[in-house]
Amino acid sequence: VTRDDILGRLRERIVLFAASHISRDVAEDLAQEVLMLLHEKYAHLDRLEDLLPLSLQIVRFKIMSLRRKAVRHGEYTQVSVTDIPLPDLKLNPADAFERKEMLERLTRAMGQLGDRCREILRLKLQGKSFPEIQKILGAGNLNTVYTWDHRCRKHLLELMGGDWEVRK
Amino acid sequence: MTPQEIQKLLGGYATGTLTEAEQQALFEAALHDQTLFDALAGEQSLRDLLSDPAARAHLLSALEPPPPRRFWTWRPVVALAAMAAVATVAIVVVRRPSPVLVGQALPPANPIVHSQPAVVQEVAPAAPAAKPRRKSAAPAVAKLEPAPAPASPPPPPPAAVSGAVVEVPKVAAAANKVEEQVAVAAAAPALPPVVTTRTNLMAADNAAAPAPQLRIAAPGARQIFFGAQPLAAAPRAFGAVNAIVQQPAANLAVRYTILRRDAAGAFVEAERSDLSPSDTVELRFTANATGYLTVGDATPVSLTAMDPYTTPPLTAIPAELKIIFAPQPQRQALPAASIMEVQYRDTYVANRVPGQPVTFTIKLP
Repeated sequence: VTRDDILGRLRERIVLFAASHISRDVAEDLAQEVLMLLHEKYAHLDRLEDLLPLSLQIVRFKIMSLRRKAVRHGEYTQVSVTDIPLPDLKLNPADAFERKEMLERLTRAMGQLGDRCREILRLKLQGKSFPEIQKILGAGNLNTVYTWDHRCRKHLLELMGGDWEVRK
Repeated sequence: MTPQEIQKLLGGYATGTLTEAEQQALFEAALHDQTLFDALAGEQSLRDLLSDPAARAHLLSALEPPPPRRFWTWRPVVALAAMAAVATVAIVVVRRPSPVLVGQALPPANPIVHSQPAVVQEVAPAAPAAKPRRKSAAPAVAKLEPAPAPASPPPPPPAAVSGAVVEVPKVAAAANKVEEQVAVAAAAPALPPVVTTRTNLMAADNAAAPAPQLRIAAPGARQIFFGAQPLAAAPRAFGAVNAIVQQPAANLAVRYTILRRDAAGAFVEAERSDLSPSDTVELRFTANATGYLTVGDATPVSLTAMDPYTTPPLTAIPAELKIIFAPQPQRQALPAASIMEVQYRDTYVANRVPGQPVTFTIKLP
């Protein structure tokens, strides 16, 4: 799979994803900006394992920026594409506050998990892969670990209200 | 991997724990599956958070199981419990009332025997009576005064003894109330030892409390001669308890008997009133302690305790005969607080002050 093929696929997914959160026009513009950024600033990346997480990160920051701007200017005010600034991937005070808030929520939610989920999450945070977790927990099958982790993630997400972030 | 299995890889995306193969499978699937892509996009915020080492460390610390409590973490609790137990035992031991001996039952005092004119006298030179320590001793004297007994004739006057005649209760007037009570306990025949608590002891010391109207009898010279402790020498207040229990200092006492030579030439005991100036008499002394006896101007002689000593015959009976019994040879008679008691033909003279010489004068016809 070539880089252009990956970027083409990514654009399609980003537009559809962003359209579920913002207007279609803004979503298309947002996807275009993401691709431009990947093309200009991250031209050296051509692997899917690199491009996809990066594109998702850019999309997230852009959507957050758009929301803050909409809040400042009024409820979902249409913003010209030329007015949308390029995102700063570094943390600003607002991002730091949101991250801190999210961390606190996550900590509280993890405290309500069961022992197994807490143990799996702890091992994951320690950098253990699923096969390693399988050995540590003594699971007979790797799919068992996947299932355990999937249920734990779902439970944790429910404890946090269905979304990792607080939608404002 | 089936699409359902790939969905399960989402949990590893945020934590970054997917292997290369898992990532490849997940991302390939996400490129073709919008739902999976949206899920991945939703996980991005968590992935960003967990990419911060500080946030990851914070979450890890929250997930770490609590370390098992080791013994040393319980040591403060154990130490506190031990201290509490020791304190409890100490309080119980300290607060438990310990028995205190406040009195002791002694043999019957047999204070004054009136069958034969028994007179307890203070012999000249009259020494100043022991000063009362408390003002409350004055009413005690009143209590000690023997009740007037008009029915019984007064004892015959001591013809041969000079000096002011003072009854024993008056001599003991210096004793305070507490001492009186102790003496009462001592005088009571066959009384068991009085054991009371500190509280009762304090009550006994309360002068304001109405004391029972008890009559006391101070030990007489005879009693002292046989080892009783005179009131004047009894320690005061609560110290008396311990002093009685402890070894008291010795009170010197002397018993003497007048022997008159009869017609057969033998010396037999005689009443003082039966003597005549032409009689030849001897004096038999017995001391309760080892010491030196000085009769008149004679050389002091050594006496062994309870070993009688008889003077040589006194052909020319002197009007007065000065007697000194002291631990050391002594010729000079010093004022002494001596008391005298006559029983049958024996006369007992004792000093109320422990260790002090017994000094008195015998008057003969």
